[in-house]
Amino acid sequence: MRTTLLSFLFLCFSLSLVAQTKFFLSGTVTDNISGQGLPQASVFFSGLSGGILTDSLGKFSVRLPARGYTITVRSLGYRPESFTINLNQNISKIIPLSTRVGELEEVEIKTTKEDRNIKETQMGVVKLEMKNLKKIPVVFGETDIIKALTLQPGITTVGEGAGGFNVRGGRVDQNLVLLDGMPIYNTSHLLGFLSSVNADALSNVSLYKAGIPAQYGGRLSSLLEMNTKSGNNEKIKGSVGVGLITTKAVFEGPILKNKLTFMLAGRIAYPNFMIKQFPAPSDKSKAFFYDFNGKLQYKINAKNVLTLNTYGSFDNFKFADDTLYFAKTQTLSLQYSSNVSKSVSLNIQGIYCNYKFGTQGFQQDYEFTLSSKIQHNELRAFALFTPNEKVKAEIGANVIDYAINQGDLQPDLEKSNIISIKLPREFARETSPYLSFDWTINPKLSLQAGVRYSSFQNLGPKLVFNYVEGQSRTNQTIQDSILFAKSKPIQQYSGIEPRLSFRVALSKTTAIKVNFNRMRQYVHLISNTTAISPVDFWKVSDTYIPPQIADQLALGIFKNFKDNTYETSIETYYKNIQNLVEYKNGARLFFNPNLETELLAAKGKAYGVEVSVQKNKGNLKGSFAYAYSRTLAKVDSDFPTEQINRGQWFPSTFDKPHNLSISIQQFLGNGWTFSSNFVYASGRPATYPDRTYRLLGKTVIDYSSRNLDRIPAYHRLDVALIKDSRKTSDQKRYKTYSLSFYNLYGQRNPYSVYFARFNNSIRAYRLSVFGNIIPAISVTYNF
Amino acid sequence: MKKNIILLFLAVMMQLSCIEELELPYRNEEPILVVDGEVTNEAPPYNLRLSYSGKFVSGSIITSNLAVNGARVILSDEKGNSVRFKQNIYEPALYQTDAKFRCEIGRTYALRIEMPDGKVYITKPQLMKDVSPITNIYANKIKNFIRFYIDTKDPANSVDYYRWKSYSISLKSTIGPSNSNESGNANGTCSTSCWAYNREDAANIFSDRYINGNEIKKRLVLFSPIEETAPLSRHYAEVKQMSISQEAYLFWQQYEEQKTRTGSIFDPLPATIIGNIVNEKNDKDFALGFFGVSGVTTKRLMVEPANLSFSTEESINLRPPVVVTTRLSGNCETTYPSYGCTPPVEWK
Repeated sequence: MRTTLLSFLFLCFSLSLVAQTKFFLSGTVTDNISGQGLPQASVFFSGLSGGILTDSLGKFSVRLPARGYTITVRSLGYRPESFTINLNQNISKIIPLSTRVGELEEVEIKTTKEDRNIKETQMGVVKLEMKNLKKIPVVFGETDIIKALTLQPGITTVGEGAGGFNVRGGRVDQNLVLLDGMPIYNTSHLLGFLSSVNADALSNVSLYKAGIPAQYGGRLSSLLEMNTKSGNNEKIKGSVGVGLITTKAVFEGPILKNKLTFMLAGRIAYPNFMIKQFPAPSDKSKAFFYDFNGKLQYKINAKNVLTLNTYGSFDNFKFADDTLYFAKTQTLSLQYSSNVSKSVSLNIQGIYCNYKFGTQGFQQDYEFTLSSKIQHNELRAFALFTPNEKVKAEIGANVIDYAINQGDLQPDLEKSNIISIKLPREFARETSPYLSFDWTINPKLSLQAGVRYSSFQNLGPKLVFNYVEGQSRTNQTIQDSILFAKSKPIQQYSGIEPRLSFRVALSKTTAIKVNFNRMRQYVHLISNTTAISPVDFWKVSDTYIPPQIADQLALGIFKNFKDNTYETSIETYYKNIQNLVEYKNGARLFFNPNLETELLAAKGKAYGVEVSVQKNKGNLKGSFAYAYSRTLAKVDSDFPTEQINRGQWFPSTFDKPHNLSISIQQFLGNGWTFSSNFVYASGRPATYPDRTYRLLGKTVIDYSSRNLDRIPAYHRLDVALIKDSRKTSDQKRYKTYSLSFYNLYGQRNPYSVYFARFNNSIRAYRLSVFGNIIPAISVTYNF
Repeated sequence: MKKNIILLFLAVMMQLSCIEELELPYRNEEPILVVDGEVTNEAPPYNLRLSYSGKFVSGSIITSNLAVNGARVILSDEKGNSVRFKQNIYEPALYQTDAKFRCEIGRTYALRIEMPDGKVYITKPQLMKDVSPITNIYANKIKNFIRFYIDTKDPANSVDYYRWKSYSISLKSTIGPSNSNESGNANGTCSTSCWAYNREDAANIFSDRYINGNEIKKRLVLFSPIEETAPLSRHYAEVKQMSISQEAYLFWQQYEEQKTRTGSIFDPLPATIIGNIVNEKNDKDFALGFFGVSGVTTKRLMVEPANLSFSTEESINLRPPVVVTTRLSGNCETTYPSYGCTPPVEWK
């Protein structure tokens, strides 16, 4: 009560604009070993109730009245640091924090730190602590970001081994996945078994389910931000990890002391023995993948930093008989950041991203390569103003150029009978200026307001077909066509995207938050399968495919107990979506030059409640998360082929109402940790037969209604035992061992349920991918 | 490291995935009309099967309770010529034209079905397109089958869709009738060994989109099972090469896809296969199945298994049929779709 009063007094004081001397206090919060800046660290000042957060380079700057302060700095995974200063002049300070890994006392995932969940305006954010990610038991012992995220409420996948993830009823292509600001179009390896980014290379991961900052846009459901390690400033160090299906290594260190640092990470896989476990004919498949991350950071001087980032990934998957799937991602970015003055910083980033994928066929006389490509070139710039500790303003813009190659078919051999066909390329430009504003009105009220204006142009050259009006769009109803010249705008879409968050603190340990978001999406993953498949491809909005638009309203109550030992929250949301991309029944999407004849614009809605309880302190830590959520779509039209389920609302493929996950970590002493997960989820919707009939003397199954049935529920228990060989927290050379059992009680969870005819009757079959207990061991050498 | 390897093997030894049969009830929507048939430029009569969707248990003949009784079915061309499909008295779902009305290449044909309840289902007029001849037909041996292949040349100046229908005639044997009554009926001569049809029941289709104007080479069209008791007897194969419409191609493509579901989440989402027969007054009311109009060219081949070479090449586009390896009991002529007691005399 006393502190509240004090801060209230302070607030009145500062607002009264009495001519009191003020000075700048600026600083950088860094890792004490690597010297790299720690983003999102919180800095608290004695006598002031609110703190501030460091920016993406670990920097902060505030203007405060002259007096003495005790400053406390906290960052996830680090020991808090406190010190006192006398602010009688402008002060700039570097604040190194030491890691608390050796103590092995952190919960692997925390959405917030201490009372951050109460103090911040932001809601719906999940932050993964990378250093403890290894303690989550996972299949084959492969640390995986997306699998760790799916233990959080509101984040699901369609099935084990499916690529991508679904956030609050959103589709997999509705997540904006950024690695050091570079977009990642393919988030999985091995057709979905693993995430495409090596977790060992990352320093922090945040997923925004709501309250997506105005700086980001272009996807409807979420923002997944991943940042790689910056490179140790002191000495070269690294780690090598050996697991059941991959080996990975990370090296980092200085090239020029205090000037130039590097980070290099690589991962290579040998999954073939695992694939042999699958039933024929899949056991004859062969696969291979690798990925790498690289970073060079050059400190021009104390104020200016230049960073070069690169990421690459390569996948090969050969199916038993005659087909090979490949996928290749190459990204590169150059970023310049500058602290222009105490209260102004500037950031400019240029991004190149190229994602190529396709199929190779080996059938004799029909040898071919079919490839698709998306090229994304982006320029992004923003300026950050922090005039005082209560206000933060940001202004910026980004421009993206898309060039998409939907299909390019080439014969591989001279004698192949395949002819060369190239589908026309697609071009588009997305331009989005934005403005955002954070304001702590008083200790009880804070506000984040942002507005983004996105505009999109589909550009020539392109041949656009016109269809007979008042009829369903088909190849037969093409009336004529118009050829647009190079760079000529074909179709334009634009609109305002408001982002608004509001926090009211009811007490020191309780807060209510409200958030509204509008998002627009101009690139779409075209897929007619349950999970992302190797033949899915990306497409930009055009004359016939309008942008998808989602409005989300979220409301949450946050309450901490026992000095922040227990963090609890209840969040609810409602989403209204326009122009979801849906498909006609039996649509042919692959290599179709007139795709608009197969696509439908659907309405969508999603809503849910997420309950979360976390215990953050003590030897036993853990979390409990439950979500009830629904996601539905509706496609109605006067034309029978453009209707799904007679125009009624139907569940989306990933609509799983009940999701429960319980995760615990018990610190056993001497570097030993026991951890366990339990997961329960409703089965996903499926389309079961609803009729049979006779054709060509055989019984045929009819599926007249989409997604009206549900596969059985999913549940699983995993355990892991982790040993860290360190005796002290600053020991440099050590090993970590992990032994895990995935699916401990061997539950045969349905991956899918399908129907096949046996003689002339119809039988149902359940396919379980991991239908048994899966033990795994991995060893990591750190030096 | 040693420990590492041991555990690694532990993981390997276990079968990870599995497929199990489930007892799952499924919904049964109200019965609707199913149309199955086609007309060609071959000699009449043309066959059409009209039935209702419903529960099918066994046997390949549609029983009378699911057959459409008393429909008036008319085929007409663009010049106003028409013929009736009349219900067959022995197989109630079968409707046949007379032997006089012959369809011709270059004409368009439309079907009209007047149902006993008054509803009328129609198809749009469809063109009977020409189809290029089969240039080569040949065979090889794999394990228990003779595989037949064809080559053909695709015309460059048109968009073409193909379908192949094939069958062979080969010698079959059974243990014979289990009781003497049956053997008496079968006339004795070939009750334990007869010549019977092997029909390829997959919808074997192809589009020239990726090879337009080039050769279609080594298209697998038929698996003819080699009978263990008569591995050296001849196989008489016939292959029909048919022109089909784009609509038919898309229909049979979905039909095949649906048949070969494996439960993978990469399977296309299941959906009704919409054919080309709709209610005259309400296009949201459509019949299941397809009515095709095709030009046909035919080629035959007789092979002696002893003269064929073995091949281990993978079979692409077609799957071998499931063959019963034990000798069946019963009269050969009723157990198998019989051709007769003697093989064809001439095969050209």
